[in-house]
Amino acid sequence: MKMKHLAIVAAVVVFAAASWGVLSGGSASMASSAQTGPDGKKVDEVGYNPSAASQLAEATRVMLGERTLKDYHKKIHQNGTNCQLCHSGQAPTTPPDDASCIRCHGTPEQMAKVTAKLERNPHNAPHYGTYMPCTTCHKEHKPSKVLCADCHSFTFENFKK
Amino acid sequence: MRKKTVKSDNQKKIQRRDMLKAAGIAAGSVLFSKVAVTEAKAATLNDEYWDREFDVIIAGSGFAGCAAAIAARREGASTLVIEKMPVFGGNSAINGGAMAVAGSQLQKEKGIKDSVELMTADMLKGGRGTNHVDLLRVVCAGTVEAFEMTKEFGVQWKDVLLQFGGHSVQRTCQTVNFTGGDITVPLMKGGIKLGAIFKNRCRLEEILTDGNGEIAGIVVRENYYFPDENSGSLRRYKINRGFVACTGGYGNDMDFRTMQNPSLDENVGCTNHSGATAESFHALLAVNAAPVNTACFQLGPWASPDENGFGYAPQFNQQAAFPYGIMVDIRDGKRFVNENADRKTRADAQLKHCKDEDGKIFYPVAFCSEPGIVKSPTVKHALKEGVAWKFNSLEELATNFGIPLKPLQEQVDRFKKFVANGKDEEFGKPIFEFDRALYLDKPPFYAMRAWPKVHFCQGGVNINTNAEVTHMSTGKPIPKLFAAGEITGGIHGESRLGSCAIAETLVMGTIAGKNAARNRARS
Repeated sequence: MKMKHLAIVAAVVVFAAASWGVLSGGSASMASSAQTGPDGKKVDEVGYNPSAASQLAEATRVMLGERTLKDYHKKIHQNGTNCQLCHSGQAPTTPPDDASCIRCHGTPEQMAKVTAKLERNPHNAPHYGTYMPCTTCHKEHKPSKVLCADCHSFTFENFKK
Repeated sequence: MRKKTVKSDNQKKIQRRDMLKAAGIAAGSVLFSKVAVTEAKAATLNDEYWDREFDVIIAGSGFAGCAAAIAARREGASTLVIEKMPVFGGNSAINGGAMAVAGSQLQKEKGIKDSVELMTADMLKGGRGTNHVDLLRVVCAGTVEAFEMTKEFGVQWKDVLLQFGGHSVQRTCQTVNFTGGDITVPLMKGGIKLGAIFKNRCRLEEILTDGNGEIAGIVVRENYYFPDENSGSLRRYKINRGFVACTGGYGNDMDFRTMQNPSLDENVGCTNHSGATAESFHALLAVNAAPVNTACFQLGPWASPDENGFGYAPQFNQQAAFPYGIMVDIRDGKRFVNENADRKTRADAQLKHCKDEDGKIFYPVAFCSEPGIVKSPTVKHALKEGVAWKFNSLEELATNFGIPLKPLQEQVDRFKKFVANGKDEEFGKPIFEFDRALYLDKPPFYAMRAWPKVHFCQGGVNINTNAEVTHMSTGKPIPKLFAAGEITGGIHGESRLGSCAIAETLVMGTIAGKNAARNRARS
């Protein structure tokens, strides 16, 4: 029973990885630079671009439920099928740019006004002002955690984990 | 995975260079090897090799990095600041916002006599005489100018002077919100306004040299998602005038920390942010930067075991409980150290006195009376978070912590007598005449448990007074390589005095940024 279950998972993973590779192949090659280094290698080859292996790993994480989706975003990204919505043209292995969040939620300055009445304003902290990427604390695919908690024990009541 | 390609390529290059160097030395001519390597490497560093190009690149966006960026832009250099964390400011942003200034306007107004020589002498004493005195003088002499620079960019300071442990006069200024973020945020805004580019989630991976050992550029990891080592992508940035390492300390790097000092394992707390790791130090060592005092970690004696990281305790203890109250061993109710001594003296005393033979810890308790806490407004947060407690009688305090009341009462009475006489006969703590009303007297008492946490790295790379990093074997400056702030070593010797970090980082950061930008000869 267990083996059968594993086999199904493996098959699904391989299929997902293959289709993902086909889909993201175009954008990955577009993003890569045409520059070549002295050794004749493309500059991007020294970098970390989502290879087939990393895409397989990512697909596996989605299959195994390690990539969580937040209820309040499910409707927006069509239950996790529209990666582009947040990750733009980038491969889904990199965190989204703030610009994606700002489209719906407003600028950091506007967010700071929304939470201005809290005893401690997380969007305008004395340590960082408004210069904080949204994804510092807010995560879509794993539990969110406020940076403040590294040193302080206060909590934010309406913070969605 | 791919990262290793670069490393191994470079390792090959380094090996080749070392082989050539060895050959050169064998031939009795170091010069020969340099020429040979230049020829070998010149072809590899053509323009196509690089992704971006700047006159000055600064790694790290704390006090030193911000000061360096401002200084470099004022010299007209194109300037990039890279920060590996999502947020800017590094550990400086969560620092306590206290800066020692020798000869400030506030001191003059209050009639406090201070000088560069006196501050140098205090820091030298705190550092157990092992400080690099030439650097120390430069730092102390630059404090007034650095302080004025912060005001120019809108940093707001309180109208109060403090005397932290080891300082012989009140010379410490503090920002309005008691945090370094009050400084890093305005300085970063100022740097951006002057035209510097601040790029977050961009980690220094490797420093690249040309054949002469001169810095050519760096490899960075863009879109780095701390702490995921495989996130983002590697890029090469070319540097025309200078690379300034302002990458901070490595107090939270467990592997490196326990390698240097195995007793500072994961059971010892740390006040640093999670990004205070050693990889940039490794990168500097890889280009032959000379290391100093790498095993010298400072323990902050005012931290609390009842909260994570820096938290609220250090403010309360430094501003109120330690100078105006007392710290006692809970087993006998007695003091065991001058609560306003330098940090090393106090932390060493805590570790020595408050453990039994089996290593069991008895956290000492520091407390003061209500008038003392006027110096520490943030105590209200500490009370709310359950880090500090208010007691309406000494008996209540003693019961809560399990301290025998009789000896505790006797200790309090003794201390009150010392305050009245103006002299601490037990441990020689300074008693301030003009603050006499603030001292430990009657209830209510405010108390907190105090236990050392790793706070600062006195060690790092060696620099000269121009903030140039020196070469491990030749002792000469490594061309185009500068450093400032906690990543450098030597200035504080064995132990740094409180509030001297902002002083050091702003002064040396400015010098590093300025000199890197002026380093036109090679551009």
